[in-house]
Amino acid sequence: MTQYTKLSVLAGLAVAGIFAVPAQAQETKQDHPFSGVYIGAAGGYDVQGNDVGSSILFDRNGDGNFNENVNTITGANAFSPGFCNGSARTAVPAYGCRNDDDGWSYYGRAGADVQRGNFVIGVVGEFGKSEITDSVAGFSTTPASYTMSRKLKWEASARARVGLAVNTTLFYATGGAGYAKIDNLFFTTNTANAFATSGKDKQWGYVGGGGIEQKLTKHISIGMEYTYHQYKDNDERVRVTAGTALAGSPILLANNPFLIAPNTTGTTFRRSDENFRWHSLRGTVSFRF
Amino acid sequence: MTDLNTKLEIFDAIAARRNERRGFLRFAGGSALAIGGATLLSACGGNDDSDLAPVPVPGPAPVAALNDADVLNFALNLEYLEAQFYAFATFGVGLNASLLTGTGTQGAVTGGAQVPFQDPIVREYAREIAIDEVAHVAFLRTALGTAAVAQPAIDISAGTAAAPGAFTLAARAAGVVPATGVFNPYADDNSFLLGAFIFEDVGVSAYKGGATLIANKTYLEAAAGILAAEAYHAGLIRTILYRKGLTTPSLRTAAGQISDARDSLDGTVTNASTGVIGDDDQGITSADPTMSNIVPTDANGLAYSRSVAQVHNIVYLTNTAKIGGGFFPNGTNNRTDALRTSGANA
Repeated sequence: MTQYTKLSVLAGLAVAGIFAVPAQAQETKQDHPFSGVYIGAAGGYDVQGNDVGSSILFDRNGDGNFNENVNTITGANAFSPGFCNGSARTAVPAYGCRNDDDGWSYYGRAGADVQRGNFVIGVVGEFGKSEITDSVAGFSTTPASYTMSRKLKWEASARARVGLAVNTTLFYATGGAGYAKIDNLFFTTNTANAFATSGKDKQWGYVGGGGIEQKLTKHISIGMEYTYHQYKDNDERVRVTAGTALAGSPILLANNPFLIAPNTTGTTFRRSDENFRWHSLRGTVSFRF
Repeated sequence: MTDLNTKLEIFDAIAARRNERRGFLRFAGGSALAIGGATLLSACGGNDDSDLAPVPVPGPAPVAALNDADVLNFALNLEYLEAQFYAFATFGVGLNASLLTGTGTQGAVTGGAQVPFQDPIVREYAREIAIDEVAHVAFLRTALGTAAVAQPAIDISAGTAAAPGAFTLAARAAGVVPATGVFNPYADDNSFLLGAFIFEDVGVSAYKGGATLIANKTYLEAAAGILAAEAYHAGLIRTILYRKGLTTPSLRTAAGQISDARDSLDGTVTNASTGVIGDDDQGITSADPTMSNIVPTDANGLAYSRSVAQVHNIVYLTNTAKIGGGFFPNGTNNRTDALRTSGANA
């Protein structure tokens, strides 16, 4: 099932739920049906756009700028096979890469709204997780592959909600700050060098979007929500040094592209794509007190 | 080891071709080592929801590019062979055990004995070469460090008529001894010189052929140093064989026969029907047998090159593609089978 098909199914279910409401509408007649405190759950599917053109950047001379190529001892570009915006399948470039992993998301939320006339304003806090991973891979002429990944472990957000209520239906926009734990992962088929990853695993970002919420009963409402998530994740580094296999061999050390001049202590990797971004479409269900 | 029938076929082929070669130009030949070229990255795959962690998928095995360590390890195999031969011939003992360890399967030396030198000049040359060859082993092992290969099984024995050793097989293939004869390179000065002659020119051509494969200039210079030393050694052996050939003409004949055998094994014989000259090995006399040919070179005065596969043809004493035989019964110790395999020159 493609990501688009999955989204279509979710959207269809949500719309079906909304249009199934009128038979019960009389039970939810209130002056301000969206005022009050609520708790709820949200679940759906998260997808990522293709980070076309993303790559791994290298700092060879140790000056903190990632603007050098990794070259072989003969001066040829060691990464001439290229890069891809996914995770490498094998060490062989011809086998390409896996696309970034999209996945299911599931969140808990709590919030409060105030309704004045048709206008609704409120806040919502949310915590949950999603099964998405964003990778970039490079291939060296060794041949070997190098995959840098970021994987969302959990996300918390505090958002404002502003909406327009039409009877028991609320159309709203939402936006706010996010705080997420993003694990930095590194995989390689290179067994000669040693690799050490560094970087914060908790990042700040923002979340924004909109949705529809429909009250089914006095206390129960369901809805559909789209949100865009973006986190700055630009501090992952992979430090490449001599591995055990290299340390004991002068000629291997002298020829290793990551360890030759201008910096014989090693090379540092970072991703060219500094942001972790994804789109989320979720169904929601809330209990209003 | 090559079975007897195979050897007899090879010997017959060599005998037939022996008379074919007379030219001195090397037929253009390329290295048998193909270094896999990198292909441009194809488009990233389609939708695939598999987990992130790399999962083995069926497909072509990565083509390991040849690196400098591979080239020096190839050379180290040859140096083990030469050093053991000269160390036994000169000192009566082989290399210290500490110089034999490394990656791959370590093997023992079969044969080897101290030569009862009569001529002090030959003895001194042998001593000097032995010291150099042991030093080459030590140098290469130091440069390679933990990447150095162990000494493979080596046969430097004469053997018996019924169970011939590598030297006897080589001498029979060259016609230096009859098909049922035994060649013992440790028997006397002249036998030692012919035994040394079998190796020395191979070492020179192997280092020259390997030069194009070494990327690091520091180690290229070191390899050039070893090449020069091997060429000096070869020059010494060829010179003294030529000199002794004044009184013992069979030495010159035998040197020519050994050279022809090497041509046959590495597939560079002159084609009698087309006249294409493919010779990359020469004896110690010119086409005019009264003239010396101490330095085997092409028309430009350049020493010859051999590919990794061609060198294996000679040390395995085979003109077919295989791993093992001759002086390396189980094959050389190299990282990949491609680096251990002789060429298909039959």
